[in-house]
Amino acid sequence: MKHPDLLSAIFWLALGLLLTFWSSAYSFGEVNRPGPGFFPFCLGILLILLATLLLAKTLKASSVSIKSASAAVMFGEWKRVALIVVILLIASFVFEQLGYLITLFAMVLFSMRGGGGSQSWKKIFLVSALATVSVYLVFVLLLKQLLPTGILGG
Amino acid sequence: MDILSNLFMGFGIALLPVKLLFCFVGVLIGTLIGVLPGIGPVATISLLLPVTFGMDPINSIIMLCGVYYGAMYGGSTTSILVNIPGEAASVVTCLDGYQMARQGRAGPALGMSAFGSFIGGTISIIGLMLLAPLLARVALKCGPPELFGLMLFGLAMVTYLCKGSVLKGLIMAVAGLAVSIIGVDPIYGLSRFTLDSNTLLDGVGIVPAAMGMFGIAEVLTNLERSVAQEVFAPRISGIFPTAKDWLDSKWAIARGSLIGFFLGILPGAGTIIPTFIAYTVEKRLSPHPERFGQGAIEGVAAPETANNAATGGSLVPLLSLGIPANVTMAILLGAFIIHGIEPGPLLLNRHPDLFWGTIASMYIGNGMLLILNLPLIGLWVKILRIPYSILFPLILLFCFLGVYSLNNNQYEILIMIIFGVFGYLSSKFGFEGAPFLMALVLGPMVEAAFRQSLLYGDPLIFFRRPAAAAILFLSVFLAISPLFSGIAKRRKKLEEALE
Repeated sequence: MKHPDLLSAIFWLALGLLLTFWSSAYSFGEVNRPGPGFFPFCLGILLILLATLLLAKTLKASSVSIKSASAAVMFGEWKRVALIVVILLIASFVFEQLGYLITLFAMVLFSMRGGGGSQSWKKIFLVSALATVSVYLVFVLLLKQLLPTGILGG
Repeated sequence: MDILSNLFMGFGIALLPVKLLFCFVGVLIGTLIGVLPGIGPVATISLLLPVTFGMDPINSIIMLCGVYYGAMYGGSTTSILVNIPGEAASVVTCLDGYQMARQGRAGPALGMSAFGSFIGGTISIIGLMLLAPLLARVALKCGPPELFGLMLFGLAMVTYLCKGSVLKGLIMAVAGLAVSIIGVDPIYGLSRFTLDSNTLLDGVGIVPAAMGMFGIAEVLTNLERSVAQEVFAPRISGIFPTAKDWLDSKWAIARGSLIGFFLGILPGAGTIIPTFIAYTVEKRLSPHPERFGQGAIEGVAAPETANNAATGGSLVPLLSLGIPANVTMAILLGAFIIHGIEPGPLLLNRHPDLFWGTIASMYIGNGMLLILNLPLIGLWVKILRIPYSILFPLILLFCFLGVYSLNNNQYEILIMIIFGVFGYLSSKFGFEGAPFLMALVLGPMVEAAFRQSLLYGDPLIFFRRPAAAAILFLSVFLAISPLFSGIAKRRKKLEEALE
């Protein structure tokens, strides 16, 4: 990969093509009576045009912007980011089954641990517990939101 | 006087104890998130949307507006004390504010930004009050082609003014429009691009998308950078600016108010660009430009006045035309829609209590902020000491809960996470989130106006109506102008001047 823009241009081009073809599944209508597929089709074509423009610009300038390329692909602590995303995903899937108390407690606990802080376990436990209790007090008691109680609820 | 009697009615509403309470809660939350660097008004207002479901619409709008202008007050505190802008709109304040703090003048800097904010905020509410009804009367004459033009103009402006390449901004805007199509077709009732998912039948929600792109993505970006912020607490003695400070700042405040208000009206300018322009103007006009960056009090007064003045300005297009001027206003539009109120030219006639009540509450809220901010600065500094590794799990927790309680649907959490990753990656590759989100919110309205215009039976309708043609021409010009090198260079120069 010469340039990060190349990657994104191809991504948008693919998305534009997908949108254009997918919108043909819906009635196009006529220009005076546009159907449900009309607007998406126009957007798809527009996206293809813009992505092609970006692609052309990138290919023309690919040799000069090594600096910007390295700056954009620098992913730094990407493992930490990936870990947090995984924690969030797991939490969203088990939220209704396990209930909000367990899920939120575990979510705060693990993300604080995985987020690169230097807190002791004791402090992490304390903050997670405090956060969970405040959720109960504010969201459930005060704002009367219905949160899933999961396996703890009767 | 019509306006005076209306305003009296507004105060009659805004002074009710319940309304005062919500106004207070709004500005307090606003200041808090303004102080905290990781979370801004967009994510906060999205977060509060589900909470406002069961509330009286006036209460909820008063509170959400309070969050918006309250955040502008809070942002300056961190800029001055620790050189970290709590909000993007307070970046410029760091330049002179932090220098003042280092010279032991943190007090007057904080005081001047609070007074400047108050004056700028109040002047912009007066402007809003006078201008919005006038504009609404004009807007009543607009048909679908004109509305379509105006919305495209808003999108083009956001794209043009966002950082980085305009081409990338355009791609994000088109992508946002494309995502907004998901769901039931407004005219034929057919479901489109839903992959047979029940969650997607209602479309991609504004709240999960906004929380993802402005809440989760922000956290991910910060985590990667792993900033270890250090907070030292400068001693704050005497927050009242001296007579000389006032003399130095009086024109900066006056000009900042006007610049902020009028630029705030323009779609896309938001609250950030006015601060840059106000600062640059003061520096140009000053007899001692060399003092700027060395702790000049005008350099604090001008941007802090301008960002508060911009909040009133940006409400003008929302309340009179129904078109949001920036992403925060787009979320606020969502709040109106949740309550079944359509902001726009008819708002004033149909819900005068809401319009005038909100305006009156903004006068009161600005006063509350002034009183609230000065004694609480010590508390804000303490909050700033919370390390990010403790703060970010709490931000995640709130986003998670906020999105879930919207519809009690766990798949919306998934949508938020997807948009979080999308927002993180797209900013990584130089694509801004603002045009995408604006387009996502405006999408259904753009499509409806587009198709209704075509129903006139003439595809050239957009060019047959002079107002629509003019505004469409302007939007297209804005969108393609960077392709011509001369204009691109000038724009780049402007960008450099701002930085």
